[in-house]
Amino acid sequence: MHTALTACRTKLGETRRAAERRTAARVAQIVVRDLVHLEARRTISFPKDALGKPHIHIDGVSRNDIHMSISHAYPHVFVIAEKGARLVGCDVERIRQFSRPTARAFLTKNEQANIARLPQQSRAYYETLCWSTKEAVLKALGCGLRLHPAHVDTAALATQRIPAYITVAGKKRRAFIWHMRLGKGYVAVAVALAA
Amino acid sequence: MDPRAIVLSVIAHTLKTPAAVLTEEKLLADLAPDSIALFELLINFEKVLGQTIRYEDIANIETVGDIISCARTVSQNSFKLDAIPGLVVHQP
Repeated sequence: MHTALTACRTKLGETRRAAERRTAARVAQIVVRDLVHLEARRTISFPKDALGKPHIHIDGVSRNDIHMSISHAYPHVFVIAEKGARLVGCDVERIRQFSRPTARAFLTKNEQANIARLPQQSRAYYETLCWSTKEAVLKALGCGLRLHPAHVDTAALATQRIPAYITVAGKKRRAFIWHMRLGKGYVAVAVALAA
Repeated sequence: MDPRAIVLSVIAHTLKTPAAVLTEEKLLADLAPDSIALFELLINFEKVLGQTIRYEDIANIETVGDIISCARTVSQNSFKLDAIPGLVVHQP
């Protein structure tokens, strides 16, 4: 009985995630249409490259001058799009208490030191914020989790300056990072990197 | 030890999904509720293998079957099952 219920929950979860992806794609179409003032009859699609990064095609023609990123975490959908040379990435996550092995696996030493200075009740938020920023950076770079999140050091976030210099695989990169809390339970991050 | 049974058990344990629904063609992105769950799956997979996985190899992992193939390639039939507390491997 328990296994049957869990299997049913798994199926429901898969169906819900597929619905979330469709909703996110529709929101992305609205955002891009608005950004480039596109007429309703023109078609927009988001084919993904080999590493899973979505690209914008209008009437079947690639638009490399527009960068976009999509994220969703029920009930939120977050889309960022920009015309120009900057690479953009976004992420929305449910705020959670990470297990210590998981947190140690993705946080850099600098980030761990920053978080250790925070009061206990703020740590779940900042750990999720670090994760979300790393994921947004990796999405902007177009590699997703194929680059280990621990190779992205977001400790500069603690200074609250924009732009900040983050470190990706040992190299400093100038990044514009915005983050906000969505209600009590979610955090959203948008990142723009110089190409 | 059968790498397939071990991989299915690690996925089921990490993603809280019954192993019975894990067919080889299932996409991990459909099974995991979010990217953090996928990352935790990777960590547990590395623990069981007792080694880190090259990130070039991760680029080819999309389905349950891909993880099984990866385990067969890198494990040399050596697994550290006690690295994940509470992991139960169900032999088919």
